[in-house]
Amino acid sequence: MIGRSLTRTDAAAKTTGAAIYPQDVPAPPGCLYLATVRAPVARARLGAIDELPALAVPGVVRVLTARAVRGTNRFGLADPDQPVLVTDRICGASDVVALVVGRTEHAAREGARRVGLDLSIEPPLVDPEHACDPDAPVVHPERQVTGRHPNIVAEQTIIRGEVDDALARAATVVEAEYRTGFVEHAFLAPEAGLAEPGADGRLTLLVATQWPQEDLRQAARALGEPLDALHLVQQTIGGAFGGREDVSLQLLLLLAARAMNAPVRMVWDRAESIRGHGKRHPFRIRHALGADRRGQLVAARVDLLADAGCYASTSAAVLANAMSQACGPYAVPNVEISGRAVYTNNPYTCAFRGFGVNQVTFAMEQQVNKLAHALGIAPEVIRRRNFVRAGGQLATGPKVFDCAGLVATLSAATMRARRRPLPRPRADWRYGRGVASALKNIGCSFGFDDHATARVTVTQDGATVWVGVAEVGQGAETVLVQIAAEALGITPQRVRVEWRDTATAPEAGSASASHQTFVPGNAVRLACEQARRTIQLLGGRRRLPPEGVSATHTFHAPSTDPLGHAAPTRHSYAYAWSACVADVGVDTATGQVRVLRVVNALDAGRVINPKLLEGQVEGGVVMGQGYALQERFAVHAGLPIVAGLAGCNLPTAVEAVPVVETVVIEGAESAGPYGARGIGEITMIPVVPAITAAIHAATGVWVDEIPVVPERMLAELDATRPAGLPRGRRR
Amino acid sequence: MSRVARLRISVTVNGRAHTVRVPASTTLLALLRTHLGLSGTKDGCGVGECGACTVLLDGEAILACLVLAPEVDGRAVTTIEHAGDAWLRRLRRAFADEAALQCGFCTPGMILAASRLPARATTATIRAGLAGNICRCTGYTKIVRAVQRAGRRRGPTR
Repeated sequence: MIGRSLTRTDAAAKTTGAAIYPQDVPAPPGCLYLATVRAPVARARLGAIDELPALAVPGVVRVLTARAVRGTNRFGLADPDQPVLVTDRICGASDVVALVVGRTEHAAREGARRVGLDLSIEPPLVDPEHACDPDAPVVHPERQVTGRHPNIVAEQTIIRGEVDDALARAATVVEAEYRTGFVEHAFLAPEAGLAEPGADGRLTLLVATQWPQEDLRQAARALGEPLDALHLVQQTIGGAFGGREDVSLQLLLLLAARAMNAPVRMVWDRAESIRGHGKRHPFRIRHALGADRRGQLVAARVDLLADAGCYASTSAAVLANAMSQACGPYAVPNVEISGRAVYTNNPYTCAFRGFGVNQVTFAMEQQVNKLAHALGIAPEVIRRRNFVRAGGQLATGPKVFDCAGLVATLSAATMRARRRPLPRPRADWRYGRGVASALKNIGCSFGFDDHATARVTVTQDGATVWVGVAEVGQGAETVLVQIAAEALGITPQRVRVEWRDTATAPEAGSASASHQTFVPGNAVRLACEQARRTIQLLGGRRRLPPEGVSATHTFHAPSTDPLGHAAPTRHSYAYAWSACVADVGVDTATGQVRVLRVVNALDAGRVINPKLLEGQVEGGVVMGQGYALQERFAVHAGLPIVAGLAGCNLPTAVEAVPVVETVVIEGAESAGPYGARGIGEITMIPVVPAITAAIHAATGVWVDEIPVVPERMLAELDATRPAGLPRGRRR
Repeated sequence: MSRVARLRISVTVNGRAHTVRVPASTTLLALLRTHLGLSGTKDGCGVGECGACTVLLDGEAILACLVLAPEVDGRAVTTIEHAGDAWLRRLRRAFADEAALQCGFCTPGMILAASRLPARATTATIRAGLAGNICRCTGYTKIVRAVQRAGRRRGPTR
């Protein structure tokens, strides 16, 4: 069963319209509807809330404010700094001030428009560069912080060796400043859900989320509910990409269902979805990288500044991840890596496919390509010369193993790319090819106990596996069916994976960090193998008792060390490796950049389902293309200007790179199920620097800020054109 | 609140005749999802930017969020739930075989939009024909391949 392209288990439901997403859940009798009153500005003191105009709207039954919250009224994945409903201070675009309950959706929305807010508007803090100035406004004055500026979410410095000396002795040093922006996840199904009180007083929540048990833990604290009074049933999840790891409307639904003692439903439109969840972290990266004459890397000084926006979310972990992998898959003996994530009044930033590694990989790979260019060395050669070896240490100290995939993916990608020549220059179009390598940790790192539990029951009819993963579209359900079928030695048609209901499916962690195949996959495999041994002892499947045989296994990933650990042996328990070659065309008259073809080679370990793996690669490549070239997410005065999908400028079928070639290296990964690795994020990460390297090959211009929209490309080209030479056709 | 005038709309959906009374401002999307309980047509943006609500109106692919209910009076609508259509069945099978779906939210609209493409279309024609349907998961490669695969199996009549 391993290595076969089993048809997705959800294909029938999703191609007939039968799959039920949260927006499709029918409203039960007596259902009430919710609408939010959102912060109209990014920073203000909130005075009185005038509910009367809303209550005058026919069909509006109640307005809920912070006074209705019985618990701490605070939530957040790492630091509970977000209010369920604002008490006195508005900090950013995602803040909800009040909740209007109506008998119809229309009445609730109409009421929400009429709630009056007494606001003392203050100028928002929007520039992370100035977040720690002495006179900068403090985003969360109520937080108790000693010893550092209150706007710092996380800050760390890692020093190994003697950077100053090594840079001074280096034959070549390249220095540059890189910038990346906000990005919207733009999962296609906007947030929606239903919460319903049961006869026993328990609340059932029907939503789509990446980490159901964590949602409920946060709800219990914030709303003052006993944890066992809360129950979540996952609906079909219309994409996530990290944007459903933080709580969005879950707590609002539970709050209102309890307050009204009635079923409540809420559906966010696209504008509210964009307002209501986090974004990718903008980074400013100052980077100095030195090498000797042969291209051996000798030192790196990297300074990272990440905009955490108005709430902490997982920013500290994103920063740690970025720092740990800031020098890519290379051995660099002398490094000084400093990082800081700061509060601003911008949209809060959170998990997003790659978790901080995309930004630093763009910078590091571009630096390596610049060094190679400056030294006259081929980009493949400089990489091979510096790749970390098995048992060696990454620049920040952790030892890595199983990294033979670095050389293998680079060779495979470059050899495959050579099969097709680039087009010849024509009119104003210039063409170029670029290469980049990447690594991405698998699973939660830095001492976090990444674990998952699976339970299996095998009867004569087949097997049911309960494991609380999230099928966000990546194919987790299908892959786990294959793993269970393999471990039990039965056909996949006889295996069911039940992941939706927190009452029956044990916790399997967040659908994050490319860990679902790896960690829940191991739990499923080990539980099934245990059941199979019991069945063998009983004398085979035909001897099974009517209730069948059950087994439960909790798999803990290998332990890891915190980032600041003096002598780290392991930041992450596993990595995926990859290399990417991009062919692009640049219209030097208009600044338009087209991606013609991408070869993406990755060390996936043992592949469970080749077609699903290709799907991850093709989707990750196009998401990387959008990040590199198109997806500018504009924010003004702390508020998103973008209110719809068109403004996100996602790649369409016409813009998307038409040729994506996936090359799979099945390198060893001893700890994954059947030797598999997690690959959800690595597919995207090297795409950006491969594209910017190709732009350089085509035009001679290094672009250090993404997205490379036509205006930026033209400005960069103009800066290199001799004065007075007109833009446009040159011969 | 003044009572909203309701119009009587007769529409054939997936071969079945329906008559409903809805406010004139009701979109075809709301008519399908709320009034007829056909939730296979998805609401991704409500303003014609994502393509998830693509359905066929008298055989033409349109966005249900941009069409008002009175416009469909006396006409025929085809949605993803339509079981009888052989061409839709072939497309469904091809999407499943090629793994041309992930989260699946764009899939109903994508399949309906694809059903209006000419048989044996080039990849460029397919991509242009699907340019109004956003997919955030697949990168489109497998969708294009699925449409080609379904087209190859289709008879020469269309």
